[in-house]
Formats: sequence, C-alpha cells, structure tokens
Amino acid sequence: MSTLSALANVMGTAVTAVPPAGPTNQGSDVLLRLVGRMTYGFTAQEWELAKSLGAQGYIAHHLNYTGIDDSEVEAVLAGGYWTLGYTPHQLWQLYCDSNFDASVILEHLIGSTTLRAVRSRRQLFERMVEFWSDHFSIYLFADLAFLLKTHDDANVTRKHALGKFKDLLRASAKSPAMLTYLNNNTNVKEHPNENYARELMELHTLGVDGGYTQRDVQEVARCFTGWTIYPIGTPLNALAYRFDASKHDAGPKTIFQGTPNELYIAPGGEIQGQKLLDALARHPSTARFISKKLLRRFWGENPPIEMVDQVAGVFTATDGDLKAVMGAVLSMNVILSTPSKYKRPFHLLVSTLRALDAKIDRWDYLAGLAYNAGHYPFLWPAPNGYPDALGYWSSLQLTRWNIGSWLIDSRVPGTVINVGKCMAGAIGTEGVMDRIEDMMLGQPLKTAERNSLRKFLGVSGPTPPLSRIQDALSLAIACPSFQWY
Amino acid sequence: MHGHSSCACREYNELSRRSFLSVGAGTLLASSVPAWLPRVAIASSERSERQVIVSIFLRGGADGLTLCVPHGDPLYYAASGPTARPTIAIAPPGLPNGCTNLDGMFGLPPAMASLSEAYQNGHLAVVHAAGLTDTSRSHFDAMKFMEVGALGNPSLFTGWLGRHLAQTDPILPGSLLRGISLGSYAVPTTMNGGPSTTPVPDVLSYGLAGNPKTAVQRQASLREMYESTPAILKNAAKVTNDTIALLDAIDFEHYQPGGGAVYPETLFGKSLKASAALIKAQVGVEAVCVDRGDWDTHSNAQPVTGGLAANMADLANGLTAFYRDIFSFSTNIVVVVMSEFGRRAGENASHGTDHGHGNAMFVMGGRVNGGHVYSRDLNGNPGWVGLGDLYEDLDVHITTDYRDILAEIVQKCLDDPQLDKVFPGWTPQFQGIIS
Repeated sequence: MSTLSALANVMGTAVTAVPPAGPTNQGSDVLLRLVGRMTYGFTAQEWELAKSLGAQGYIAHHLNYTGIDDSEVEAVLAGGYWTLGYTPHQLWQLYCDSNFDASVILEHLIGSTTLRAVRSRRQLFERMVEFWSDHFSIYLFADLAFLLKTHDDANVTRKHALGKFKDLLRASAKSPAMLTYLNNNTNVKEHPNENYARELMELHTLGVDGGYTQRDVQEVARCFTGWTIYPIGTPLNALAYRFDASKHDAGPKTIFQGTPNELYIAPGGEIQGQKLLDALARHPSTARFISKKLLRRFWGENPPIEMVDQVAGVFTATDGDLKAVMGAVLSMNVILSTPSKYKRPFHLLVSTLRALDAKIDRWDYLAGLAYNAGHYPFLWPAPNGYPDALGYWSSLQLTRWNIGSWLIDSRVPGTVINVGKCMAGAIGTEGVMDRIEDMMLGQPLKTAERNSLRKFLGVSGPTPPLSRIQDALSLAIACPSFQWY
Repeated sequence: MHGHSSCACREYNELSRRSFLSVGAGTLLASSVPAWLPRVAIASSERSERQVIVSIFLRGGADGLTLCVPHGDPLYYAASGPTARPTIAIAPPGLPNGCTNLDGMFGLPPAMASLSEAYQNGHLAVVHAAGLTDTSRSHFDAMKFMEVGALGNPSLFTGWLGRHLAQTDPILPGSLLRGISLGSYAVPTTMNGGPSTTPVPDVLSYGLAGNPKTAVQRQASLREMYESTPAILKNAAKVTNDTIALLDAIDFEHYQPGGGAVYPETLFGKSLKASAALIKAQVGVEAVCVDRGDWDTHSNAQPVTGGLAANMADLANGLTAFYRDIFSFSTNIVVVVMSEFGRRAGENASHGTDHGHGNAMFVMGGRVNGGHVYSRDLNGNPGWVGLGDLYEDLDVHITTDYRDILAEIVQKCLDDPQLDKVFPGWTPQFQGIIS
C-alpha cells in the first residue's frame, strides 16, 4: 500500500482541544495583523501595499480581486498548465490516451494551487479558494476525483469563491467530482443513497446542530435521486452532470416537518433539488454556520456569538454575497484585537516561500513538504475537510521544523532559496537577525527566540559564515513566532 | 495502462497515486531517512502489572454485520425488506466464500478468518450490537463523542485515554513518551489531554532534517525557543525533542517480529509492527493509538473480493501478526478495536450501506475472556438482539454501550479505578470480558 494510506488513516482524527489563545503579538499593529489574516504570509512588498492603502482600503483592494493585476501568475499558468480548464469529458479522454501520462493532470492541479498561493497578488481570493476547498472537501484519490477535481476546482471553488453562496452551492451539487465522491451518481429512487444528502446538510449548509433529522436526510436524498453523471463512453459528455428523470423519485417531499422552516416541495423533477438547495442556502442555520466557519478561519478559533450573529446578519441581508460577508469578517480584525492563529502546514510552507523570495522553477514538488506534515492539497480523506484548529495541528512538530531545512538545503527539485542574496548587506550577527525579522515577520522576534538565534549564530562580532546563517534561517522558520499569523 | 474501460480505474488509481507521490512527496520521505544503526535495547522481563493498551479506531463507520456476521439470523439473508443484502451478505459457513463459524450464531468473513487463531486460543472476544448511543449518524459527531468518552458533551475536549494517562503515574517512572499515535499526523481525540503523547507518521523517518553536524545544536535552540510558548506548543515541542532521541535508540529497521508473525506491508501493518517493537523496547510507552480508515462503504462495498475485503484482510492479518509477535514476548497487553457506528441493516442501490447504529467491537489480550461473542438482546439478557426489531426501523440496536467495554479495560487492564473521570456521567456495567 502506498504512502497515501497514511492519509486514509487520519480521517477524522482530533479536531479538538480547548483552543488556548495564541501568544499575543506584542508590538504588532492591527494593519500588520490584517496582512497576516488576508494573505498566505508576510512579504515586505505586501506590507508596503497595506500601509499605503490603510486598513479599509487594503480590505477593499483585496475584495475587488478582479481589479488586481495578476498577469505574472497568469503568464506562468498559460505557459504549461493546459489541463486546468478541461471539461470532465476532456479529462476522461486524456486519461484514456495511451500516449499521455495522466499524472500530468495532478501536477497541473497541485502545481497551480501552490503557484497561486505563493505568487498570486489576489491573496485573499486564494485564501478563500482554500477555505471552500476545505468546506466542499473532495478527497483527490476517491474514485474519479483525481480527474474530476481539476474541473471542480475551476468551476466550483475558484469560480464562486467570492461570489454568491447559493451559486457556489448549486455548482457544487452538480459537480461531477462531488457527485461521485459522495455517491450521488448512484442515488436512485429505489433504495436511495444518503451520503450526499447527509453531508450537504451537516457539512455544506446547516451544520450538524442546524436542525434536521434522519427523516430529513432521507427526504433530501429523495430530492437528489437521478442527479448523476453521463457514463464513460458517452460522446462529448462523458462524466458530465446529467439529470436522469427515470431514476428520480418525483413524489412530493416535506423537509423540516413541524419546524418554522418546514419546506414542502411539490412533485417534480430536477427542480426539486434546486428548490431544496436554494432553501438550504437561505436557511438561518446556514448563515450562522458559514459565518462562524469563516470567522474561525479569518478571525480566530472561538469567535464570540455576537460576532457570528453580526456576520450572519450580513449573510442573510445580502442573500449570501460573499464579498459583503468577508467585508464583515475582516472588519472584525480591525475593530477588535484578534487572537493569533496557528499556521496549518501548507500555510507555513507558502509563507516561508513568500518571505524568503524563493526562486521556483517547478511548482509540483513543493507541496510534498506539506504532505510530510499531513497537509497536501485536496488529500483530506473525509468530506469535512482539513481541520482548522490549533489542537489538531500542534501535536506534530517535527515535520514542520523540517520544512525550513528542506528548502534552505535546496533538497526540493526546482526550488532555490538564495540565502546569500537574502542577507546581502547584513553586517554581523545582529544585522543577520534584523534581516530575518524584516523578511519574515515585519516585527521583532520574541526575546527568547532572538537570544537563542544569537547564541546559535555566535554571540557578536563579524558576520557568521553562510552555512551558519543557513542553519539559523531554518531555525527561524521553525521558531514559534513564525508559526502564527 | 491506458485506453481501457472503467473497470481498471481502481488499479490505475492506485498506480497513479503511487507514481505521483513518489515524485512529489515520496522521494522526500525516502531520502529523509537517516542511516539507522542497530541499537537494540530490548529487555526480557516485565516491570509492571499494568497492561499496555493498543486502541484501534476504524474511521468511517465499519460494517459490523460484515465484520462479524450473524449468519444464524435468517433475516440477515432476507430476500427483501429492511435487512435485505442481496449482493453484500456474507454466505453462511460451509458455502463458497462462507464465513468461519464462531458460535453457531456469528462468524468471521473470509477476509478475517485469520482472527480465528486468537479467538480459538481464548484471547479474542467480539462484542456485538455495541456502540455509541448518540442518534445523529454523523461521522464527525460520533467519532468525537466516542473518543471523548461522553455523549453530547460539547465542552469536553480531552479523550478517555488521554484522561486516563493524565490521572495515573507513568507505567515506567520518568517515561518521556507515554502515548504514541502511529501512522498519523496528529494525536487522535482518544488520547487528547494525555501527557507525553505524540503522533509519529513513520518511525523510520522521524529525525531532524538538515546539516547533521549542527543537529544537536539546532535541537537545543528549538528546546529553548519553545520553552516560553503556550503550553500546548511547549509540551508538543518537548515531547517531539524527547521522541527524536528515543526512537533513534530503537532499531526499527532491523526489528525481527517473534512468534512467526508476518505483518502486512501496509501502513496499518507497519504501524502495528512498530508498536510491537516499541512495546518490547520497554521505554515506557503504555498507550498506542492506530487509525485505520476507508470504512465508509456507501457504494460498491465488495466484502468478498473488493475494497471492503481488502480492508478487512489488512485489519485481521495485522492484528493476527501483532498477536503472534507480542504474545511471544508478553501477554500483558490489551487491544481494542472500535468504529464510530455500524452501517444500515439493508443494502442500498449502490451495493453499499448507509450510516447505521449498533456495531461490533473486538477485544484481544492476555486477560480477555475470549473465544466468545458477547451480545445482549433488547432485555439485556445474553443473546443476539436480532434483525427483526431495528433501531428507527433501519439499523442494529445498541444493547451494550461501548463505554461498558472500555471501562472494564481501563479498570482491570490499566489498573485505573477512577472511571468517573475517564467516562464522566456514565456508570458502567462490566460484561465480564476481562478476567
């Protein structure tokens, strides 16, 4: 069995622990923290941008992401990532082509995800894409997802990441990757398959305590009978979404019976599922569930109830307009002092590459370092997505510590961090440490960290040898301050 | 491998994930393995009467009606109705692909036949119609409550095994590593809150990367830097540093299992093998968690020839190898296997089963009153609950709360009488499964 079973085995492990507040970032200002919240990590360039725009201007800049010139990234993508826009049918044809190595599809998907996280100027948008990739999580190696996730990524998460929630939900419900992952493609009127119906309510919309019963799961499953995909071999449309009326239970359905949200769905075809999706998108539990989850990601692990209500109010008032909702979420970072958040491994990797201005010629290898820490894109083996909790991610330290060494020692093919260039002009031990702070944090290290690094570099005097600085830099990447944002 | 029909997808899928990750992550993993020197430190005597526990969680909701087949219940073979399993029922003993009879009512599926050895030796017991009585059928709630050891208590985050560790002295005084979660990237909720616990994805590659000449010095810096961080990170960093040294002293690569044990070459097999090596090394590890995923068989379960069969074979063959290996060294061990819920009594149209309720648990060890399937009827008397009366007209009832089993293990095997702290709000009724 491959290393992948390692991941299959982590399904559902702890998402727990009473999250203690992170260390307060003494000396940091609200704007610096906002940069951390909205991006994949500090860069001197991003920090200058934020300072020039001010907090509200900086938020507006990133919410209006289509207005941000991202031509540098688009040029790289145009130069070699040709499978990204493919339809399910095209992906299937590629897979069947004996002259083609299908792993190219995954190289494009993983490579583009890493490239965009590191280099895109639309940083908030990319963080939102990651958020929805977790929310509508699809395990890359379930059935055909290794082909179809490419289509899902382009047409569900990336298309609607800052659009309307109901459009995102509709797109996901018809996504061939989701239909096959949660088995709705075999959900038929005799003996319905409940898998999608349950996760739709528990994970995608209402939340587990959102007010539904086992009977509702069964009724919702009936709504989606016949939502399937074209079989392989279908000319032009293989694996594309299809409604099969002959497999659909057209009878009336009642959901949330006996509650204020009771929903009667008249006899009908595909429209039944569409009505249901719209009702779920409008449901007050959904507004609260999504708002709380966004706050957990972009504010802190335990958002106060008033804060959740406030964001949920915007969600409801704007019919789930995600730009408006995110405006509300981010404004909380400005108004209130936010607790620090612990970087997940992929975030730690990307923030390292951003801070140290890595020269990267191959984008498909890098995520392997996050894999070693249990966080490879689209590889959480359960539909609830990678956890977003300190209590989960804090227990495995070693492979996080090793990320810096792997990069600094140039052991990832195609990636070089030129430490000499990073340190150009830095004089003496203190100069090296100042440079590390300027590049990586935009604020001072903690005293204990600085003392430790100083000791490692050699207490004072001339600039340490390059190999010593390289080791110190890998230590800085592993140091506590760099684990938070 | 290309230009074929869909039936080859699964094999291709296996291949593609391998080749892809061998480019991406695999090579990194492989080349990060340092040269391990043989430093076997295995003692032969036992130091404590307390047993070492291995807790195995089957993630996804394993199908208890397949893992332990009620072949004596005619409704299991019903042609129609809520218990019909037209394509996935395991045949009765004596028929082709039939189960191995255990006691006239229950049997082990062919893929798990190897467990008969421990069962016949009286070291393995099965508990049927057991589980978590929560009603939600959500994987994530069910796993959380089961691992926490309390029902629907949203303010409790530590796990039952973690609390046991926290309230007892180490089995070996001064032990730096009391609990380990092997083959995983995080300590599972089960062990959450336990002091000196850590996850180890792979024992063979657990070492500090980078320049070996400065490794000691860098490690010292890391120790210093994490001294003044929040407790959760400080503790994790300390146990990480301790574990690097501890695992470095054990030669996992050249470890030779005893008792003629042959472990499956799978992550699960390797994790159990590493568990045995760690336990034999007697460095103070007293609790091991191993997860085995991929049990959420909503479609194409294939319990005889396909995916579910492979999963069950991995489970049973891994357990049997561990049993032979560890019992050739010591019987002072207890293994418990559980899953968050069982599956629907009847099959769906996708040749799979949806989320259910009551399930089978397995308990193996030197003090287990094995060779028996423990089960109760709806009145609490010994006997199979039967498929004629279903929970919510859908699923196997739960007639034994899983905490009754775990509590008996905690008290009798782990010598911890403070059950009210391990399972708050629950007054367990022992089933006599441990002597």
